[in-house]
Amino acid sequence: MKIWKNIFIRSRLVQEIMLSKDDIKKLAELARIHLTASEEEKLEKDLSNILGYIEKLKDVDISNVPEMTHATEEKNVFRADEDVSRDDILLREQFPESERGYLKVKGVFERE
Amino acid sequence: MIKETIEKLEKRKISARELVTHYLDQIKKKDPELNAYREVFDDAFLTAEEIDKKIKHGDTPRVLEGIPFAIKDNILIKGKMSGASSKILEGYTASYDATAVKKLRDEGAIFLGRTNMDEFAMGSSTENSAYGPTKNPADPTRVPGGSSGGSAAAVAADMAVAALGSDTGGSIRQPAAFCGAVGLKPTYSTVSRSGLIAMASSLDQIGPITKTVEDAEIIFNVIKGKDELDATSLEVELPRGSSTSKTIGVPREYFSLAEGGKEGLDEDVAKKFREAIDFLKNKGLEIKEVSLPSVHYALAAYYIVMPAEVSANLSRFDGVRYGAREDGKNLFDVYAKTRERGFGEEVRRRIILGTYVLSAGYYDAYYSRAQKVRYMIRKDFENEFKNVDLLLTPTTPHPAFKIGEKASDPLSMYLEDIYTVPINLAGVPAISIPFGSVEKEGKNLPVGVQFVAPWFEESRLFEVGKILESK
Repeated sequence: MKIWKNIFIRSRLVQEIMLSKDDIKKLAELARIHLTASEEEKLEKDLSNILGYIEKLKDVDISNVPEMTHATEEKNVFRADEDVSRDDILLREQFPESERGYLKVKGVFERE
Repeated sequence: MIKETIEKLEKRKISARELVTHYLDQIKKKDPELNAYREVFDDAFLTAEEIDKKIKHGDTPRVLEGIPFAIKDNILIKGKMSGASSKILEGYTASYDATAVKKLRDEGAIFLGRTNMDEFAMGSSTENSAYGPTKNPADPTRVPGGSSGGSAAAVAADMAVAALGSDTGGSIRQPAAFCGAVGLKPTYSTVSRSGLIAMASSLDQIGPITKTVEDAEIIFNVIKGKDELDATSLEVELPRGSSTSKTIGVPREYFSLAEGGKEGLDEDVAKKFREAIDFLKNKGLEIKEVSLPSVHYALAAYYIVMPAEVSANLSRFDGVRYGAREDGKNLFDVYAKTRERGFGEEVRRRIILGTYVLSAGYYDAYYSRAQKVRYMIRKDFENEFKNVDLLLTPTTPHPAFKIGEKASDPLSMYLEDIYTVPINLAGVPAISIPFGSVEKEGKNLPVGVQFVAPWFEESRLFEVGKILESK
């Protein structure tokens, strides 16, 4: 699987975060967004700037601090596993392509 | 404003039809220049006629009977197009009402139209809309703020009585401040997010943009409450009666939040802020200096948490089930091309950034670290709320900026939210209230101040907000 082969982006420990064009290409592939060459170049610069700003978090002493996962006191909520679907006529009308009422998409596997 | 309008309706001094006519006329007159609305609905008169019939019949008006609303383009109204101002949702019609919309509808609200916004609520100027920027009614060469810029401009220019917006890092409060309106970001989980097109789910909240604090209170009381369709929503017993606040804390860090010399507090805004402090002192409130040491790191933590959630939430827009679809040679190609053409530059930037911080081997360095810093920020608020009833800050470091001024530098646009982002990370409620204006290049530009309350203490915001508003 070509997509997953390159998921590991080499780690950098330096303060200056520089992304390469290859990194951007891999990220775009993971995010399923096609980019033109000039967009790749611009993103390379923008992301390096943003990541440089984010680096300030490295100054914070986070030892013994838990991760915050909820903004307010929340408990897990359960409900019965029953069909609660709403009006699906409008939903079906949104299909970009359909056949006999079914959503139509391109095949995942290609024929040799 | 809402109360008086409903009284007039009840006494039949005005009809719902006349109300709708007034606002549609205003829209016709002003919106070609301001571009606050993406669409004006053609059925507002139908709802108005039904309401007029009921009133004629002697029915007691409901809480929002006949009140004309503007709704941000990322909050669904059944049977209406909804697009979060993105090309990728071109042609999408909502198949259900957002819970907040349903609650407004059940209380008799009339929907005038849907308002322009930064695409998927990503931006602080409404310039990121795929359908052109909205302009600030106080000075059309300037931005209205964002991302709820259309909603704020619509209310400020009297093109609606009130509006709904959404706030992930300041998207209700900052445009309210720039346009001279009241903007409330409720406590996270008090208003259902069902039917809000998700940006960053642990931060997003729907809230009202209004002309008065009382209106914000009325609307908040209508839209809040637990909802089966949003598992994070909570039923909150809000404190009743007078919760009279006595002490207000001013966090000293807010005056040193200059980032690389870029976003220091504007001198004129600082002067207005000191005026607000003096006014509250004269009203008998005690003002204390307090400290939120971790807020220095809030924006950096936000730019990890938010894009991480964005990259996950926006993966659903792939051209398969709804919206625009580009053709391609295989399924991957359909995804990649649809998302290339459908998403604007800022949206793509944040998805890629989120993909980066979540990629294997980076979790500890970015996401986990940011969530820990988020915990520290929350603790800071918790600690200071033991000493004071409310916090007070400027809503923004400066008044509305010029259209195009920050468009080419994403980081400087991100710094716009430096005063509002810590509140979303902590989940506490906050309100921006207009407090006069400052003169820039011969124009009077509105200034807002922000009150912050502990979790579920919205009533304190309304109470002190009304005092400040009385000036």
